[in-house]
Amino acid sequence: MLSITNLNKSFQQAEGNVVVFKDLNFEMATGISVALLGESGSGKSTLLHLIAGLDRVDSGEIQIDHSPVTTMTEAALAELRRQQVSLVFQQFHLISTLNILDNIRFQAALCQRFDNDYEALLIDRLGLASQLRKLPHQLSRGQQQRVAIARSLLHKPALVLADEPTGNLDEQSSLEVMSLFSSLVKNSGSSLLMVTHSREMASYLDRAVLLHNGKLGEIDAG
Amino acid sequence: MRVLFIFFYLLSPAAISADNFEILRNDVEGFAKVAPGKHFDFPADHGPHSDYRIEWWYLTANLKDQQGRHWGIQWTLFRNALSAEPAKQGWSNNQLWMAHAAITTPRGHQFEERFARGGIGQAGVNLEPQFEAWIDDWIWQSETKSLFPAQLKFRIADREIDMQLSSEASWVLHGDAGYSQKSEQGQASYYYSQPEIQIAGTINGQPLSGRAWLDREWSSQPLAENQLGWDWFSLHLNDGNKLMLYRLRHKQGKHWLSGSWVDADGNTRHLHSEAIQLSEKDFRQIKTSDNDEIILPLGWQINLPELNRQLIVKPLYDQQWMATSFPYWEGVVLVDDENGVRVGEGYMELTGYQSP
Amino acid sequence: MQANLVWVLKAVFSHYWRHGWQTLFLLVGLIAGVGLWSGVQIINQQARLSYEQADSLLGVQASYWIRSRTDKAIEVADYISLRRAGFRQIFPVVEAQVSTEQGQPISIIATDLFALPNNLQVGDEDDTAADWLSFVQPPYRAWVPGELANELKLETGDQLLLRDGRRLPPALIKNHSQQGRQILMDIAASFELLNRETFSYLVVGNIEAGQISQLETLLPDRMELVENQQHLDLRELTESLHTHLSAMSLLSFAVGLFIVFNAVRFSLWYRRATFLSLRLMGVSASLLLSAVLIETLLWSLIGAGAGIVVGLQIGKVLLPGLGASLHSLYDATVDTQLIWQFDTLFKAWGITLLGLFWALTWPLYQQLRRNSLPANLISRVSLDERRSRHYLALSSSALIILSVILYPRIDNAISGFLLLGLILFGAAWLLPTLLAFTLRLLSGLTSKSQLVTRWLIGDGWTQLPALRTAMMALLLAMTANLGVGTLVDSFRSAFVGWLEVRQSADIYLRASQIDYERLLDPQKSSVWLADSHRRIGLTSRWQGRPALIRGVDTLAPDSLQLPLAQWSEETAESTLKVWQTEKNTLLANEQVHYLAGIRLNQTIQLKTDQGPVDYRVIGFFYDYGNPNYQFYLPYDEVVSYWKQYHPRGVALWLNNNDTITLQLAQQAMRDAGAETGDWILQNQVRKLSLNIFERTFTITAAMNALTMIVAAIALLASLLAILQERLPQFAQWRALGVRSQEQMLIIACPILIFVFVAWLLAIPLGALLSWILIHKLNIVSFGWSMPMRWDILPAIQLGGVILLVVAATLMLANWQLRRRMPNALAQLGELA
Repeated sequence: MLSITNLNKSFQQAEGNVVVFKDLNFEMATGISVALLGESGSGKSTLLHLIAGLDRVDSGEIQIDHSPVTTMTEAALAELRRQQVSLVFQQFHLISTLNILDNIRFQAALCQRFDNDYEALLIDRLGLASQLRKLPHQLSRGQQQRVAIARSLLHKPALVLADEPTGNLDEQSSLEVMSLFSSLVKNSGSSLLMVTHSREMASYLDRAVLLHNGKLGEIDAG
Repeated sequence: MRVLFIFFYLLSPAAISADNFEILRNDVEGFAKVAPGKHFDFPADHGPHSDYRIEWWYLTANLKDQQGRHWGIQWTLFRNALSAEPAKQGWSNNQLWMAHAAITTPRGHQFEERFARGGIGQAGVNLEPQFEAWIDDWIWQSETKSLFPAQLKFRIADREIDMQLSSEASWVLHGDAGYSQKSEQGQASYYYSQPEIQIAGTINGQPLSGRAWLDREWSSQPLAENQLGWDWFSLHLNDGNKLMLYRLRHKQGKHWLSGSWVDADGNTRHLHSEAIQLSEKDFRQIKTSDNDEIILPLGWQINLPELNRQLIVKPLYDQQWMATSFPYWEGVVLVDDENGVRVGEGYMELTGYQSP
Repeated sequence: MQANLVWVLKAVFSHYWRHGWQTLFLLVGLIAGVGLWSGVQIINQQARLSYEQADSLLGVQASYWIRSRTDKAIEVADYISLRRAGFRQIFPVVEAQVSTEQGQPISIIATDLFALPNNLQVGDEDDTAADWLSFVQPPYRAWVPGELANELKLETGDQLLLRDGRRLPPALIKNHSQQGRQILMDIAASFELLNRETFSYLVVGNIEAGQISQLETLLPDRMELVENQQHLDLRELTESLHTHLSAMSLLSFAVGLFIVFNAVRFSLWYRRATFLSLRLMGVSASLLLSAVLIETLLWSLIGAGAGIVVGLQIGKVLLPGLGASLHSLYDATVDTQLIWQFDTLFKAWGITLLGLFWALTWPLYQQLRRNSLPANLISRVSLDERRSRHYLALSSSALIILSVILYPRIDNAISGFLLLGLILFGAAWLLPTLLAFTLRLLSGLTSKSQLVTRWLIGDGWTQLPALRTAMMALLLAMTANLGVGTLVDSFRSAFVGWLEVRQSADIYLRASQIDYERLLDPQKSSVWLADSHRRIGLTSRWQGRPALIRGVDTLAPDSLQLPLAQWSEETAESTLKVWQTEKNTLLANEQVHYLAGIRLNQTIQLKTDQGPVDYRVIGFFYDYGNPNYQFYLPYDEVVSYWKQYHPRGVALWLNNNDTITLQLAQQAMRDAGAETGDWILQNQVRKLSLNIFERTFTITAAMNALTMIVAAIALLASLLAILQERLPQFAQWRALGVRSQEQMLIIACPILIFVFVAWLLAIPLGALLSWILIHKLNIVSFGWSMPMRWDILPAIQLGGVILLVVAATLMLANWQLRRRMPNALAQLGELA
C-alpha cells in the first residue's frame, strides 16, 4: 500500500541545515492502521505532508499503491488526493457556506464517488443525522471533527492520513471520536496513518511506530 | 563725460550670453565713427545723430529758492540705436530712448527713469518746427530751432517742475574742437556744452532761479576694456569761470583725465591730463537701497597748477544716489577754495562704483 | 509609559512590515485619493488666483480699459497723445486669435514692454537684456510659455506656421508674468504679422481717482473708458465650473478612501489576535488607543505629504488643458506656472486625517471595546458582516430619502452636487445588500444543482466582506464614468447639431476696416454671393453680469433657422415672425431664462443711450458654452438705440460650393479691404469650435480615467487581501484534492457575479447621474439645456473594460497564489 524508501529531508533554518529524515524506510500494508508517534518536532507532520505530496522530498521514494508520489506533477498530486488519499487535520476546515450534509459529501462530490448506504452508515455512526441541515459554525468542535472524518471517508480512499485529528478536542470526546474513527476506517477497508502523541490513541490502531532521530522504529502501543 | 554707455550696461548685464555680446560688438561696426576735425553746425547738431550709436541731451541746474537754499535738477534724455540700420518711422524704428530726471531739494533727493521706443512719437528730439526733446510728458520745448529760449517741464512723483531756460553765450567745444578723446586706444566722442544758462521757474509753484549747464555728446564706441567708471564735475564759480573735468578710472595704470576751463567771457582752455590733479578727500557711506550701502568718495580736491587754482568739492548732502537700472551718484556739490571760502557750486557724477 | 508605548507601537506596526502588499495598497489608496483631490484643488486655486489677478494684465495693474466705440481699433496717435498728456500708466495691447496649420487656436497678445508701468520691475528675474533687445527688433521674438511650446512642439528659434501660411516670429521659450497660454510678442511684431496698425485696446494701470475724470475729458468721443470688472465677473462666471471639478476630485478622494478602508479592514482582521494578546498582557485600552492614534497620524502625514507631491504633478498635467478651456470659454488668463500655496497641504492633511480616523481609528476603538475573541470566529464575522450590511442599507435608505427631499430644492451647483453625492453613496451603500440578495437568489436557483456549483455560489458569502468596499468603489467609478460619458456625448451631439444650424454660412468675415457697401453691392457680388448677414453688437451689463446685445438681420438665413429652446407663440417659426415684425420684442439666450429667472413673455429693461427701454422676451435660443447673457434684436433697433455698437462681422453664403466661387469671394473680400486671416471658412470655424469643445472635456476624461484606475487598484487590493486571509483554507482545499483551476474558479466566480451586479446597477445609476447633470446641474450652473442622449454602447464597452480589469487582477492573484501555495501546503495542519 504505502512504501517509503531511503527518504531524506532537511530544512534550511536559521541555525543551519536541520536534517529531519535520514534514509528513512517504511512499509505499510493495505487495510492496516498505523499510529505514528514521536516527540514534538520529530517530523511526524512533515512525514505525513510528504506522503500526501503537500511537500517535496530531498531524495528517496514514496509510493502509494505502487504509484510514485515523489515524482508526480502538481496536477497528478491533486488527482491522487482527490481519489485515493484523504487528510484529516486538527483544524477541520469545513466549508462554512455549505451545510453539514454538503460538507460530508464534498470530497465524494469532487471525485464523483457516491455510496448512499455507506453515507447513511457514516452519518448514523457519527451521530450527525440531526445536524445535516445545519451550518458548520452551529456545531460543536467535536461534532465538526466528526463531519471532517465523515468527509474523509465517504469516498472510500485507499489511504487516510490524519494529523492529530482529536488534538482540538477534550479528552472524553477525543477517545470517543478516536474509537469511531478507527472502526470506520476498518469498515471502509482503507489504510490509516495517524500522527498522534498519545499512546492511548495509538492503542486503538493495528501498529504503532516511533519517529526518533530521523528513523522509524516499531513499538508496542498496546 | 556723463553717464556714457549707460545703455551698454543696461543692455548687456552679466547674464548676457557670449553670442549676444557678439551681436552687440558686430553692430558697432556699422555705426558712424567719431573722428577729429568735425565742423559743428548749429542748430542742426542739436538734433539726433541716428547714425551714431549713443547720444544724450544732459541738463543740470543749480537753483536757489527765496530763502537762499540750494536746490538742483537733472534732466537727461538718452538715445540709443539698437542697430546700425537707418532709423525708420513707426514701430519698427530701431531707436530706444531713456530718460533720467532728478530733483535735489533742501529736504531730499528724488529721481525717475523712463524708457520709450522711437519712431512712434512717444519720445524723441525734433528740430522742426522748433527744437523739442521729450519722453511722454517730460519735455524741453524751445521757441526756436535752437535750444533757447525754452521751457522745460517734467514731473517726478508729485513734484511739477516748470522752468524757463535762456542763454546768449557761445557754445563750448570740449577737447580738440569738440573731439573728446576718452582713451589712448582711440575711444572718443563729440562733446559740446552750454555752461552759461539762466534758469528760472517753479517747482510746485515755488519760485526758484539759478544757473544751468547743458552737455551734448554722441559716440559709437563703448568704453575701453580697462575703464571701470568715471568721476565728472561741472562747476560754476562765483567769479564767472566754469570748469568741466572728468577722470576715467583705469583698472591699472594712470587714470585718464581731461577738462575745460571757460572764463567769464566764454574763452575755453582745454585741460589735458597733466594740467589736472584730482584726489579723493572724503569717503562717505550712503544708502543705495533700503538694505544696501556703499562707500563713495564724496569729497574731492582739484588742483589746476597751470591756472593756480585749488578747489575743494563736497556734496550739498550725501544722499543723492540714482538707483536707476544703471546706478550712479549724481547731485549738487558746493565748491570752496583752499581757505574754506565758498567760491561756487555745480554738479558731480560718480559712476562705476556699483554694478547694475 | 513611554517604553510601553514604544513596544505597543512595535507590535501594532509589525503588521505593516509583514504584509507589504497591503501596506502598499493603503499607501496607494491614500496617495491616489489625496493626489487627485489636491491636484484639482491646486488647479482650482491657481485659476482663482488668476481671476484675482484679472485686475492686472501681464503683471501690471489694469484698472480700466480704453476701447474704441466705433470699431475695434485704437489708433497709435491717440495712444501717444495720452502718453504725452502724462498718462504713463496707459499701455497698448494687441490681441488676436490665430490658428495653427493643424487648426489649434492660438491666442496672441502683444504689447510694448518698454511702455509697461514699472517695466523693469515686472520683468521676470531671468529676463536678460538680450531677450528684450531681440523682442523689439526684427525679426522679433514670440515668447511662448513652456507648456504651450511642448504642445506645439516648438523649440527656440522655430517659427510657428499658421493656417493661412503666415509664420510667427522665431520662438523663445519664455514666460512673462500672467502670460498664461498666450504667445507674447512686441507690438511691432504683431503689426507686421497681423498686417494692422492699430491696437485692440489700451490698458490703464494704477490711476488715482482724480485723474480718471481728467482722462475721460481727454478721450475723444470715439473712445470709451471701461472699468475692469473682470476679476469679479470671472469669479462669478467660473464658480460652477470649479464646483464641478471639486466634486469630481472629491469623488476620486472617496474612491481612494475605499482602498484605504479595504486595507484597514484587512489590518483589523489580522491584528485582532495581536490586540487581544496585548490586552491580555495588561496593556491598557488607552495605551492601545494612543498607539492607534499615532498610527493614524503617521499614515495621514505620509498620505498627505506624498499625495500632495502626486497632486502637484497631476495639477501640472491638467493645468494647461484647464487654462486653455478657461481662456476660450471665459477669456481668463491662467498662469501655467503652478503657484504653491501652503494651505493646500494643511487641507489635504485635514481631510486625510478625517478619512483615516473614520476608516482606522473608529473601528479599532470599537474593536478594543470587545474584551475577547469570540468563541466562534466565523459566526462572529458573518454576524458582523450582516450587521454592517444592514447598517449600510439603512444609511443608504436615509441618503435616498434625503435626496428625494433635496431634489426639488436644487438651485445651485453645490446643492446639485450634494444631491449627486447622496444618490451615489446611497447606491454604493445599498450595493452590499444587493450583492447579498443576488447570492441568496442564486443559491435558491442552484439549490438543486451539483454540490460544486452550490459551493461556487456559496463561497461568495465568504468573499463578500472583503470585496464589499472594492465593489462600492467600482460602482462609483463606473457610475461616474457612464454618467459623465452620457453628459459629454449628449453635449457633443447637441453642440454639433447646433453648430450646423448656427454656423450655416460659408464664410465669416471680421475685420476692422471693411467697405461693406462695396463687398455686398448686389450688382458686383451676385456672381458669388447668395446671401449675407451683417451683425453688430455691444457689450453691456445686465443684472450685474456682462451681456451681449446683438443687432441681427432677422431675415438672414441663420436668423430664420435660429434654434429656439422655448417660444411664446404656437411654433418656433411663428415666434420668429413676431420677432421680425413686432417692435420691442427680443430673443434671449437660455442663460437669461435659467440664470436670471426670466420667463417667456416677461418684459425686461435694457439700458440704451436714450434711456431704459422695455422689451418683451418672446423666445429663448440655445447658446451653448456662452457664460454671458445675450439678446438678439433687429439690426435697425440696435442702430437707433445705441451709439457705441461695434461691427461683429458679416456671414456670407456662397452661390456655389466650388473653388471658383470661393476664389471670387476671396477676391471680393480683398477688394473691400480685408486681409487674409480676416475671414474664416465654415469648416474651419466648426473645427475650431469642436477643438475648444474637446479640450474642455479633456480634464473630465482624465479625471474619469484616473478614478477608474483607482477603482481597479481597489479591486486588486481586495483580491490580494482575500488571498492573504484565506490562503490556509485554500491550501486545505488543495489537500482535499481541489485542482488549481477549480481554485481560481472559486475565487473568480463570486467576483464576476459581484462585478456584474455592480455593472448592472451602474447602468441605470449612470443614466440617472447624467440626467441630473444635464437637466439640473447644467441648467443651474451654466444656464443652458440640451436633450439627453443615452446609448447602451458605452455601458457595454465599459463592461468590456471592467472584464479586462478583473481578468488582469485575477491573473495577478493567480500568480500570487501559485507563488505562495507550496509554502501554505507545507504549513497545513500547523496551528495558525
